[in-house]
Amino acid sequence: MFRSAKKTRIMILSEKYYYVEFSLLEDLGVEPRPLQFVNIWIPGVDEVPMSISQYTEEKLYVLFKVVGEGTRGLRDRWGFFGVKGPLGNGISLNNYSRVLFIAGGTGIAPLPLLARHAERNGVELDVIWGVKKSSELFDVKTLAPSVNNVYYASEDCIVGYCGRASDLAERFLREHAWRYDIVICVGPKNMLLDICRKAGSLVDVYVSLEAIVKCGFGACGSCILKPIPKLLCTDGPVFKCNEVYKHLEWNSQY
Amino acid sequence: MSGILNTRIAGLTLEHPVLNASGILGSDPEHIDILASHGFSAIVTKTFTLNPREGYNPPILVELRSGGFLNAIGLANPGIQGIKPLVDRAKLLGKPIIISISGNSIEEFTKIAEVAEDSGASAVELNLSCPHVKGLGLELGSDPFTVFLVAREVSSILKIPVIVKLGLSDRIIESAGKALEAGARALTLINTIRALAIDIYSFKPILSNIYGGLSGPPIKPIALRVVYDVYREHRAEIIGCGGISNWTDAAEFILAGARAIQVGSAFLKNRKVVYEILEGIKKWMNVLGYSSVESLVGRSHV
Repeated sequence: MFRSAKKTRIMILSEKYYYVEFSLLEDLGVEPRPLQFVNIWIPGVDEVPMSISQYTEEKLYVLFKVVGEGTRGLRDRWGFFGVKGPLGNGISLNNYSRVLFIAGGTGIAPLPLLARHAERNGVELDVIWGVKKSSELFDVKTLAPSVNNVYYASEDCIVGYCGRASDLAERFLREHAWRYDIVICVGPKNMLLDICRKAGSLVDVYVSLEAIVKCGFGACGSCILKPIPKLLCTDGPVFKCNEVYKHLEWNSQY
Repeated sequence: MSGILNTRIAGLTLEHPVLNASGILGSDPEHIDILASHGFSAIVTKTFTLNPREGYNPPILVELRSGGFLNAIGLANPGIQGIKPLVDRAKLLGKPIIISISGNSIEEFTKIAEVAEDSGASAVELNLSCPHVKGLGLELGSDPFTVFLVAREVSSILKIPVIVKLGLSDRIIESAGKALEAGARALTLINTIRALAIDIYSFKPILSNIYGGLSGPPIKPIALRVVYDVYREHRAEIIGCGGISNWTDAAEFILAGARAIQVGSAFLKNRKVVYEILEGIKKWMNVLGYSSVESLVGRSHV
């Protein structure tokens, strides 16, 4: 269902990352699960799928980098917006006690809500976060204070591990995979494929995908995860590696 | 096939009467996999145009407070080269496939229809009723003579059955008659209904296209009335479409005169809807003591 929301705050987290607070004029009706998303309508501009970063009472938070008209509108415009959702399957942490979250770039967006659910369920949550430029990094504990260990990686080698998140994750998991019940991985497709390939045999890996989501209801079919017959918006965005492995491979050829 | 739900429509023999409505997936081979795996007896594709269409920018669909959906997807489709892969996939899955078609001219309609036939499609459905794309659709379907011309040209060159899909208009009974006269084997009634939704805080229409097609429960009684009227007037073969959400809706359409039905919006809300409709229909037939669903078609007419 469509709900109206007022943009009430924007925080600049780092060189490129923004965190926007929306006050919903009516609540979502259901408690969103971690890794679910919403479609946010920027009136007269666009509608963009955004991971739910945090949700409390009638406040909804999203974290993003400006990549196009839609996200520019999210940053620069004030006033009223539309929110559709929560959409997608999300993930439940009920049955786990230790979870590793691996994020590449804006894949960090769902962490705050994930961390709150982890805390509520007594789940210990460690984080690996990698970015291209270290100026994109911020202290994740400001948004997710309950997380346990945080390991940073930057490709410009200024902060943390020198290299990509997936390289750090691979090295880390070779030694520590046994400590985790599951690994949740959010980021670009080649990173997800990398982690599925290298860590999929060591531990249960869940990946959260991105695709062009237009309608959000499984009607338009634009988010089909070729070549497998699944839609991101209704079947995903969270899958086990083996469910979407062919899609990750298929895309990486292009 | 000889089950109690077997349905013959437009010369096709289907396992049961529930098809998907055009526009619900149906432009990629993987979409065909999804539709087939949810129980539809035949697959209706998204509407194909000669050239690829991107469709509109989001928002293209909004769920309404009053129930139902408003959509303006904009006939997004890969153009005629996308038809064959869909037909091949449907064949692999053993499902009849009906290619939905729209065009800017009679020549476009016939060209796409020929591609559909050459690709091995089971039938074509002429979309003469899209309510939100200028020049394509409703403008055509609301003029009975244009309906006649398009239906006749396409019917005269195809061996496979031609189905005509009409939208709500003042002259729909007349248009339906013209389509049949022109050689249409069956009619799909009705398309979504042109409608609007406005966001009361930003003061803007929600869909990027402003107007959209209304679907779902709000249009069911209207669609039912049209099916009833057209059946009464023409005793035509009808595929009922419009807000069918459960087996009682489906049963009403059958009694009004529909030999088959199409489900769209309800599938978005409930992926099990086909099976639920079929179970309900079987129980209903059992209570009534009928052994063939076809013998219930049009029985509300005295």
